[in-house]
Amino acid sequence: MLSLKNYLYISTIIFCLGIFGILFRKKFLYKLISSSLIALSAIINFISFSYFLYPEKVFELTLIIFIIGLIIMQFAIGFFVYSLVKKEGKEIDLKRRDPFLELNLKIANFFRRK
Amino acid sequence: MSIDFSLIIPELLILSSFLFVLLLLIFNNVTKLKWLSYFCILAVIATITLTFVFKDRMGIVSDNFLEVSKISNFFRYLFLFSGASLLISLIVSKVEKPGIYVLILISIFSAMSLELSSNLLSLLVFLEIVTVLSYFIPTLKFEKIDWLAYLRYVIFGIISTFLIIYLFSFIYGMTGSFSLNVEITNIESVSLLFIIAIIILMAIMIIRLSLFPFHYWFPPLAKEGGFLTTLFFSILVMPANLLVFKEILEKYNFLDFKFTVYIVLFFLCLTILFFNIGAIYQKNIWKFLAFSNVANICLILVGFLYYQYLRIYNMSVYNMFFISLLIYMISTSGLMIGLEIYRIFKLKNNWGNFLEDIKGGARATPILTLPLFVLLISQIGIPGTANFLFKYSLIKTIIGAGGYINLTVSIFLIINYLIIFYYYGRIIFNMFSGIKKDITVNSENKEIDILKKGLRLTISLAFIIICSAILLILGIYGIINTKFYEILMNLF
Repeated sequence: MLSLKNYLYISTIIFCLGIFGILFRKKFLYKLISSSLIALSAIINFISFSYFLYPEKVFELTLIIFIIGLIIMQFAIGFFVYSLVKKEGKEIDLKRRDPFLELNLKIANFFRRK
Repeated sequence: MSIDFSLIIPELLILSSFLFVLLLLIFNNVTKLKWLSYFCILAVIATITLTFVFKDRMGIVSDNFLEVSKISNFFRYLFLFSGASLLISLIVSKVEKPGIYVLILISIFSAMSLELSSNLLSLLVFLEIVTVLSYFIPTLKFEKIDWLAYLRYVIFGIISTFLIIYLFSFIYGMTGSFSLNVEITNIESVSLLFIIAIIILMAIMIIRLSLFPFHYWFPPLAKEGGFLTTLFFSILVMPANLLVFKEILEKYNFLDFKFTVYIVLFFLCLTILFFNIGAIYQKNIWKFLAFSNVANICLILVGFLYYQYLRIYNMSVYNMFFISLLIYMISTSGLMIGLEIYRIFKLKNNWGNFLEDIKGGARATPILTLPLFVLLISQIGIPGTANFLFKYSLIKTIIGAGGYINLTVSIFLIINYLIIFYYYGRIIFNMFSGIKKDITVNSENKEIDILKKGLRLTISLAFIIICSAILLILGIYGIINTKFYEILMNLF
């Protein structure tokens, strides 16, 4: 039978996958889906903790369902924003120059001039 | 579970006014904007009065969900003030979209309820209401929005929300409850969870306060978003996030190890330096103010960490943490509204390079000059203004604590003080210098016209004059009376 540790390992792996996706994917939609993995791992944590450690607390379990609702709301907003920008016909790629690169370029230009 | 509704009367008033405005929008045509805005301001004033009337009534509202205390009363005032200044800013900038009044009222309600919550879930829900509303504010300027900055803001907001939920799952695992009043007892057995929780908390803090690696969370959005977006973020979203971190750090003792506190402190000091240097190179006024405000929030956080974890402060300086937040809110909102009034009446178009645009501002608008000057020197922290007391006592106590690390922190803060002095001093210098010929200043809007423009200008002018007067009075009285913070804290 699976123990609490096993569930925590699974959730940690899913969490790491989510972080990996957020860091290395540049598209908005991919980042959103990767962040869903973090939410999924949080839900696994909640359920496994309440099942193994605190099985008598029913009230907290109802709050967990509320949290799941909150996660769904966040997704709805994410997809709404995605569709809003898509309608405008804009590029939904999060790649862009860092604003502080401008500063570095300025400093480089200053020394070049000298 | 019994609920005493009389304890949350101010919140109920704001909520009912929100419903009233919503009904008005649904069943009426939306041309009566003036009426709507004055009604909203009246509702906020009534709420401030009611908060003051019921300030002595404290206790738990509903079992394990909301509790009213002295500190929560203080934050109620704070968020009501920010709501009032947001409504005044709507009147100043003549926003033609009535839905935004509903948005502001509901954000005041959720920010006020944020401090009352004694439960992780209600904390999360109210924070999320503020954050989700902040997703809609930049879209009001639909054609000018910087889509990339906006998308980045939304996606990192969503990611940080999920990280908060992930953190809460760990807290639930350690405590077995969502209540904020439960202590973590068996830390040894869950030490790995504890360390992971600290790392996640730091990551959330970095994203939500847009600190160094995530500095593109808020400032680039402020650049195109303009006046209202920057004001909303600076005086409502950022303090709400700061409040949540304060609550979690205070209740769960996440930074009990001194080593981690010093790492966070070092990181915060670097961030302050980074943002202040970044502010020097900004040409857009709102982005510049965004940088400056993030640095200010970091400074307040440094003060809080020194009290909470290094135990250097005494109780009167702990009160100063709250007062510094109040000073930050007053000076920021006053300065922003003042600059917007300047733009509307003296510049033909939007801000370009603000250092050029503000040249000769003192001659063009003598009425505006004095309050703007006071607000600017208060941002620097020159003796005689309220911000000076906070910065001076913070640096003094850190130096007094001794040790190499504290000394390094104080040197960092002094360097930052000089940088802030430079970039705000530059604005003051340009204000009092002559008008440049190639800058177009509206010749039609003479000084007398400002008073003829009607109620909206009189209200906004009165607001910034009151803001600057409060800062001056606090600053001068604080030098005379050393126990002044205790006296001020007793008012709440």
